[in-house]
Amino acid sequence: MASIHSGIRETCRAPNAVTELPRRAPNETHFVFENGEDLVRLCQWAKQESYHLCTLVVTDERQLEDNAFKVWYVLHSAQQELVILEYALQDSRQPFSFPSIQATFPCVELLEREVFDLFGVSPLDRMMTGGAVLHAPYPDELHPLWANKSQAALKARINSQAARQPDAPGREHLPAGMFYLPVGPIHAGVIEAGHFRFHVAGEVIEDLDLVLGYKHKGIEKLFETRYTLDTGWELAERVSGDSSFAHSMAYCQAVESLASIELPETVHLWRALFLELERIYNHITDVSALAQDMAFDLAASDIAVLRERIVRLNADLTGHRLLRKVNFPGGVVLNSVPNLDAIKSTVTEVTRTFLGLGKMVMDLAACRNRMITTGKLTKCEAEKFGATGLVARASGLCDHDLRLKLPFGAYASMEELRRLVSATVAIPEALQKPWANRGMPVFDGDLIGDVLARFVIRVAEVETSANIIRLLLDRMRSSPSFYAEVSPQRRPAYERRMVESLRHVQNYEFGLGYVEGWRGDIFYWVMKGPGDTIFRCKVRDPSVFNWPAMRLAIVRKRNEGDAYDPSGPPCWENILADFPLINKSFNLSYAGNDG
Amino acid sequence: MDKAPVKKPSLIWLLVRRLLGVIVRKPLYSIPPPDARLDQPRSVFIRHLDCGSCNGCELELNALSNPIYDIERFGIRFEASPRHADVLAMTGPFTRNLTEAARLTLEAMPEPLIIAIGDCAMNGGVFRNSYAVTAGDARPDEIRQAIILEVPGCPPAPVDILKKLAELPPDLSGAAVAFPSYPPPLVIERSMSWRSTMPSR
Repeated sequence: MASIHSGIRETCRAPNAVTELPRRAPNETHFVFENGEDLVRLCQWAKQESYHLCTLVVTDERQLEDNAFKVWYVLHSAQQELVILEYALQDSRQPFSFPSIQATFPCVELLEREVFDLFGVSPLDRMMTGGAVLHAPYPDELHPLWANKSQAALKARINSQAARQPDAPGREHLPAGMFYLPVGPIHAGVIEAGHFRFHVAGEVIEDLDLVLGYKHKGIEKLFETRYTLDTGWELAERVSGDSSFAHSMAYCQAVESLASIELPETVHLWRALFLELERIYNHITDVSALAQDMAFDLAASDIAVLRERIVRLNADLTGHRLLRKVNFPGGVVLNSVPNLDAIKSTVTEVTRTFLGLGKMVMDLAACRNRMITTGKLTKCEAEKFGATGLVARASGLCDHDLRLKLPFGAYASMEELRRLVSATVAIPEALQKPWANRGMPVFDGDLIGDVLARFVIRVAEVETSANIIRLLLDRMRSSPSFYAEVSPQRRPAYERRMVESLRHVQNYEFGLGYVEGWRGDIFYWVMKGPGDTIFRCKVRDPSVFNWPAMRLAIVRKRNEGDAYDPSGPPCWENILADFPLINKSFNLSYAGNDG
Repeated sequence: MDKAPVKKPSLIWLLVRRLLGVIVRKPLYSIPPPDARLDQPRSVFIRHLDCGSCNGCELELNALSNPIYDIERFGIRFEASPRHADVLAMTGPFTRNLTEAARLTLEAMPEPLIIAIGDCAMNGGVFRNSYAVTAGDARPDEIRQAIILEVPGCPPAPVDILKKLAELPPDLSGAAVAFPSYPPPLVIERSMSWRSTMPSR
């Protein structure tokens, strides 16, 4: 595969208008573009070379040396390469318009709408409508993320102006026999808040409008106003409650890369272990909920008991059931001396029971009937619309995993871990290899993007995570300092070291943190302000990219031909009663998406 | 590496085990009641209302329904409609975008009563002071006055929630609260009647 430099040579009409900045990490390249068209063309080239979009960041640098808003695109390739593209909106005729890559990477659309609400900058080629995260209670043109706006000023502005009229539902006429079915934002269950408007003809869902943003809490502004670089983890682990550890880990990595400090290996090992524990308990929860949605309560409640065992293991290790307050920039601390054998036996036992129950659900004819071809997201669609994480893997993009494509922490240093991850989806020959000794082998032919595929990949990933945890525990047992470096006494030393290193960092430097959480890849972009403040922290949850993918999996669409099932029906369609099952099989985060 | 083969448990065995539990009246997993008051007869129907939480409180509320905590054995259950609920379990720091939906939900209750679950619902927690949330005293009056119980924690563990729920009076629910003069007068306004929407003969 070609490197990004050859891409720039090929696509940029004005090579002098592209400046490469010095690398900060061996796999990271950073380019400053002066010509927006070049940037768009480079992104088209990158898409063909199967780069993935990580995130879109906008910063308000009008008070700084460039006197303009800046747009940053971050891409990563399959070859562990990270590319940062920077563009300043210095055209005085259009200071609020940026070159959009939405035509190339459609998944950027939700990010663009969010940016339009928060900054008031919009793509050059399209008219934007607000309301992605700031709904009717907010006045027009509030732009909360402008650097010169304080929380008090924003609140005063919101309270002084009369609320807008609630956004009226669209009045477009549907064909005869079709009607709208609005659902939410408050749902009939213990679920998060979001609004769905189904267009139904009979029982078949023809189309679906997603209205999100109800849970917008202004997290990015809070990072800038209330938290500092060393306390931001408190907020980061509450962006999405079920990914607490993954979010705090991404935040910590961003700050650590900003301060460019190296951590002891033990810290990396423990972080990887907690990340996998989080993956296990969440996958188990989802499988239990899926069984419940298929009215298989017997299995659902037995699996829920397993989930509780892992959550209690979390509490024993860290003092918190959801792994909070354990991770901070510079290190990890545990509550007490952990019993490695107890962790191993609990994880092994839970996993073995879980695999059995998972197999039982998968093999039951009633459940198969419900899951197969329901909510189908084909490989082609997942690729085109940038689905990420577990959803992409279930659609056949088996290696779309940051642990393989952009390894971090322990996954970067330990080849064995990557091998275990890549053994999740096996090719038959690989099953003979010692590391692929699996209780439940999954073949890539199984992964056709329906609910069953997402179910199967969850079960398989729990097994992978258990294998990883066992390997990490073996590694820890071989080193005598497995606890000394994560004991609570070390915390002040770690924090002091962090503060020391941050003091040498220049203002307005940025750091990137990335983690493969259980839902998918999480990116944090942290830019340092004066002192130890945060100038800008951009959070990108995997749900941002997967919500449009979920809509696509639900609506009726023509069967464009499928390599695995060429004789499928002429159309993929789902009925209303399938929606809860599909929604649960994706299990996306509303809180993480709304910010 | 773990090399033991994975065996699928038989459905029959699971059923038999479950039935045995029913016959000998011994629960398979569940913990003893964390508070003696939970043994009193009680009927509390809870409607969950998400006001912008991080999903942590929802995870723990969902855990209450698993066989270990098994909240329904205490006469407490989660209800799908606010019209059937005795009390709202509110989570999250009360985002502005959800204000209207929360108000409508409260209006649909027979009696407006709220349990604030988690630090966010009590005082905003880590999200306090954001432009997008109206935590604490900035919340609308009808919401603030309706809170009868607060469960601290971020998120509170299921056992903590159970202990707090034990403080609810057992007679919270029932016709006496919802309809002071039971049976309620049956008045159907003509314009609201479903007949008015039918085409006339």
